[in-house]
Amino acid sequence: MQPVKHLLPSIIFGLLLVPTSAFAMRSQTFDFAAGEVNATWSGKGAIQMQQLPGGILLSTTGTGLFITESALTLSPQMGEITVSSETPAHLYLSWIYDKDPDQHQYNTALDLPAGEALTTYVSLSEVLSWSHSSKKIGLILLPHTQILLHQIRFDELNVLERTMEEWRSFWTFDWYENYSINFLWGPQLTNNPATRRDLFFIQPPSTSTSAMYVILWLLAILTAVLWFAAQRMITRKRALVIGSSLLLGIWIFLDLRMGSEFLSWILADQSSYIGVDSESRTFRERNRFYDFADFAAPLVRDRTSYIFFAEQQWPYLGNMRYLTYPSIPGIDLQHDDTWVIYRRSDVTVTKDNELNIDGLPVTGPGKILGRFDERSFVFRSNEPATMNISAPTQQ
Amino acid sequence: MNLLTFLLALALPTLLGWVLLLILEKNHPVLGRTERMFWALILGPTLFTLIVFLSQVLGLTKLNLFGFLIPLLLVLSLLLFVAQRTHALQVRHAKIFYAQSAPLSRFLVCLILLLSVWAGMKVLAGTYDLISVPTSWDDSFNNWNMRGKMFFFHQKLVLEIPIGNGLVQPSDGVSSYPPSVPLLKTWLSVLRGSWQEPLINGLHIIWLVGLIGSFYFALRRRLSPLLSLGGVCLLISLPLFLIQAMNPYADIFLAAHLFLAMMCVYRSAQAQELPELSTWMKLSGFAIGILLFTKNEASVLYAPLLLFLLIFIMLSKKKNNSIDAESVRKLLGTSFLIVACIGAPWILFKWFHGLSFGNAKSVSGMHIAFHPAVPGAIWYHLSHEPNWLLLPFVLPLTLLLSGKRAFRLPEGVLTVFLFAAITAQFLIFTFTPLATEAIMQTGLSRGLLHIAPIAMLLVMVLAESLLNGKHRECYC
Repeated sequence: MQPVKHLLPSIIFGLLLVPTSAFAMRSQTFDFAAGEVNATWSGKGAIQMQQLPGGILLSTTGTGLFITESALTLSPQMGEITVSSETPAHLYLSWIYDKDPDQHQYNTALDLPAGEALTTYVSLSEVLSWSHSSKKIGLILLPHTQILLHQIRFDELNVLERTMEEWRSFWTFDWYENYSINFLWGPQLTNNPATRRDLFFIQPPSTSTSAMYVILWLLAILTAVLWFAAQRMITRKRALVIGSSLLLGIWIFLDLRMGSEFLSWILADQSSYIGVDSESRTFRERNRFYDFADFAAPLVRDRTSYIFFAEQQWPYLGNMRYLTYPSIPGIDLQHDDTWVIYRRSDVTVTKDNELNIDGLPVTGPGKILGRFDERSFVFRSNEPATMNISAPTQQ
Repeated sequence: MNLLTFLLALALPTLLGWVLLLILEKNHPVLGRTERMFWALILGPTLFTLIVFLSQVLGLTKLNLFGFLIPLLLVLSLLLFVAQRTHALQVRHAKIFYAQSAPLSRFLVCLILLLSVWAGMKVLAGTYDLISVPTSWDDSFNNWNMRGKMFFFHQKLVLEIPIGNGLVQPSDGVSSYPPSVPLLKTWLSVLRGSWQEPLINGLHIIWLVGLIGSFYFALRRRLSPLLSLGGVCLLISLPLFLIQAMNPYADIFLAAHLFLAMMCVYRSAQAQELPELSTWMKLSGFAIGILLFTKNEASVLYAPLLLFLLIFIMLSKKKNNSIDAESVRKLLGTSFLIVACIGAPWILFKWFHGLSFGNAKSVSGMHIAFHPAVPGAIWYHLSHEPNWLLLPFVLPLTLLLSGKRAFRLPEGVLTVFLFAAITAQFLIFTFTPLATEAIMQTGLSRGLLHIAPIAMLLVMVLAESLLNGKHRECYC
């Protein structure tokens, strides 16, 4: 234990040498509300700018660049952009380094949802071309884009905040997904909230570091240290006890993480499906499919086979086959007269009671045996299909 | 009603397995009373489905209430008669000596008790979910549940699965898997009178219960009750193990059967006296024979490996003059005969019906080529994902620290089996079109799941030796 006693003061002394700025969170905000604009901004290309009370309305006829002359001097890990937009918009956050003689323009894509004053978070620490150097910031708007820009903000997190983010991301859980039966992404480490918010949206989680990988490396190093210690400083038995205690401790810690994730899935099932009435419950990513299948099964029971169109083939076709057995779903348009439609907005029934796909009639007159929701129903024609439908229609 | 059906449906098959175990143990009992119940819970229902399968394919019965009950009651009566005549039933009173309780620190006792509560919470919550949610996993609705539902509707074994538009799935598809799990689902539904999702999915809990019970008693031969309980908690802590156990998949089902077969082989290697060895060899025959009726992986990989190990053990014992050549012939002959009797019906059935041997894809005629993405996928699965927590690190470390002991009999049997199974799996994934199963982490995770309980047992046994200082050899 002697070396540890010497190590502790060194660590404390080392921490004292760290600049105090490392512990201070810094932000730089660009406001666009009338009377609060705090930088000079200009438009380049086919872009029009109009100052409104809540912000600047940007609209483009071609590609446009909205850029500031003021430099961003922080080294932020994340950005936040707040806009109002009637439709989802695809933008690029753009930057030019002050000291770059070529004034090269770098950018990273942003997908903004439709809505009133919604904030979109941008993780910058994983963008390879993003560096600490002073830079000018801008937005690139694609042709025919219109947004009301309220605010752009950049945050440079301090050491403590980054450490807290690593801890929070470790305890951020994945959902019960189709792949969960075969593998689990497990705890991920990231040091900014923007990445943590979308931790499992990108797969494999490439914007974060696997905590398992870090732990295994640390364990390998500790094992080597213990082995070395067992040769010179402590007995083999003591090294084994220390090593096994350490392994057991980490094992239990990981068990708590993974067991909690498992329990969170059960709780999610309970609150979205098991404990909810059958009129409104949903099941994981399958939405209301299982209640739809319960609804449709009695309606096809008098048929050995029926036509089944769903929003996608997997997993619905196989799952429906099992749920309605011995009635078998397929696309045998020549022989089957019963159509089971699940979440297909392109499949409709006309006023003449004909089934249409993409606006074209595919059956003669018939009737809806039952409607589950606007896009899901069971239809029976008086005769089989009137036209040949190409396979891609059934995705 | 579902619970009553569940208990009734499993009681008789478990009794069947229990009586057969007593008969096999009659000369020298080797299983404890409770331990035998866990073994019977795993082996009995599968034996029952084998009997029903035989009766059905021979055209003697349908898959209806009588078709299940008559063969079951006939065989059970016969076994009870044999057990009565041979006094095998007396074996149930025999006592097995497990490891003595070792004094543990208060901290360790509290830790194990807390871990047990935690593991119990996970299993209870998982069971609740298992019986409350619809059948949503691919292999369940395309294979295990689908086939069970087909047998239930048609009251007979059906190999051709309709896939719509008048087409059927070819015989090298999921029908090449033994029908044991689907038949049990059919049996539950026949007894219940209708196809009930909670009932047929809830069935899967028995293999987790059977496996953790058997695992506990396997540890009890070396560790105290509390430490064995701790070992069970560590097994349940493996995330993929828990998730697979809490869903209607059949890989824990295979893992449970494989674990018992491996235990028989391991105990055969450990046995010091001939009567004990004889019992373990007979049990090995029974467990390996039943293993062939679980999943395809058993017949192409695990069963041949276990049989090879049995031969190796016998030859080692003969070399050490523990037993004579005559005994080797007799013991191996008996064991292999039992395997053949139990395993042959399904293997022959597959042969006659052209069903493939492999993981739902035939292993014969596969194009051999190196798939460079596979080693990376395997490395990622083991090092970046918490599927097995620290087991991929702890297992090689324990083997390294244990040195020669890990490769000597009896523990060497476990080590060699794991080495061979892992190597074979990795080679198959790396050099055959099954590579996609490693890259997508489907077949890869299942393959590792099958052997995870054996790996955990080996780690615990070797760690116990290391910490108690029972040996000094080390490869480091």
